[in-house]
Amino acid sequence: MFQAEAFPVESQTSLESRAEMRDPAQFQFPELDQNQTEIDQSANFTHHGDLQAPVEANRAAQLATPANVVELHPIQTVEAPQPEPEQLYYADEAQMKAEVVHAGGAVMANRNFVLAA
Amino acid sequence: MQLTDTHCHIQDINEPMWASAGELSAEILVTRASAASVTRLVCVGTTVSDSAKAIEFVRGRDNIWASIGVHPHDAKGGKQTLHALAELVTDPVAQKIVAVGECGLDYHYNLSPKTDQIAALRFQIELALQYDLPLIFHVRDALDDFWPIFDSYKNLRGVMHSFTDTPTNLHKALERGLYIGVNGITTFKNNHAQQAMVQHIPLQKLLLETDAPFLTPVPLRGKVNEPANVMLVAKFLANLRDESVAEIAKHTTYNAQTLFNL
Repeated sequence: MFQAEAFPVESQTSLESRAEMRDPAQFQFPELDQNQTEIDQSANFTHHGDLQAPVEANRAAQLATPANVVELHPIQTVEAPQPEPEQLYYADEAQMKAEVVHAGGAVMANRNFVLAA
Repeated sequence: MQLTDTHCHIQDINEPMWASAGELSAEILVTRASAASVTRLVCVGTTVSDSAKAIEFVRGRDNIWASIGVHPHDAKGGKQTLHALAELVTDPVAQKIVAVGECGLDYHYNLSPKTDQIAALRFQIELALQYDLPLIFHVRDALDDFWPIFDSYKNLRGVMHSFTDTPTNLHKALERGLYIGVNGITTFKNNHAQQAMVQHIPLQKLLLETDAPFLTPVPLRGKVNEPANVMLVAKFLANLRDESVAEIAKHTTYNAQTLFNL
């Protein structure tokens, strides 16, 4: 059965405020100045040269640094902790051997084979 | 609720591997399975003689079917063995033979030479195609060799029995339309990779199995596995995958009926 209550009704106020948000007239779009959007090829970007200078100086400083100043640390690898082996119980040795052979090693990983008392 | 054990070896009930189960008969196993809502069983052969035993075992028993095959461990018998396997089939429907397998490749122990394993796999694939039967695949540490062989045939149907491989190989199996057999291995406590992998198996491709008498699920380790324990696998998966047991039972039973025409 259709239940109108399942769909919340928006208040008139919220609908009006949303309409305002969607009304392009409410937004002030700055007038595009065609002349400003085009790249002025005649401009002289002198600051480009200013930025490049310290980069080059830094590179030169790096090259001048003696290699033995930099101490490289060997990468330390940390092995994930190995979980405790699982105790895999068997009724007897015959059952253990039969299962291990039949399953083709699928039961072998990280397990201790234990004969049930 | 109904469950299906798509992979068990209860036709071997008189063999030494069942000895630790004490006084146990096939009737007791079937009754206990039924009491645990496991109402359909597929008995899987691993050698020619074992397959013959499976055919004999299912005769006259309701809701139990046979699969015939040569396990990769026993593939060293060569052509003579494989032809003997083929000769077991006279009328698959009347004999209640619903699949070929378990067959495949097992390089973990290499109890048979690789060349013999590959020859036996190809022979059994062609046998399945001849009778339009699905295949039950056992593949361990050998999927790089297995996929090209599989891909050299068309219209193969089957299940990756006791699948314990990576999500990448799971994806490859699913791409090929294969079903994925899940058993008690998944319940082993430190089997985190397996438990992560089985969560990616779509319900539409999931099959349950016990592999009884092997691979008893937790918490029954130390006892001999039996078909009734499919319920434990179903419950474990339901908890792991945040699905209901009923949902898993419904889908896996439908999948088993579809693949094996039960």
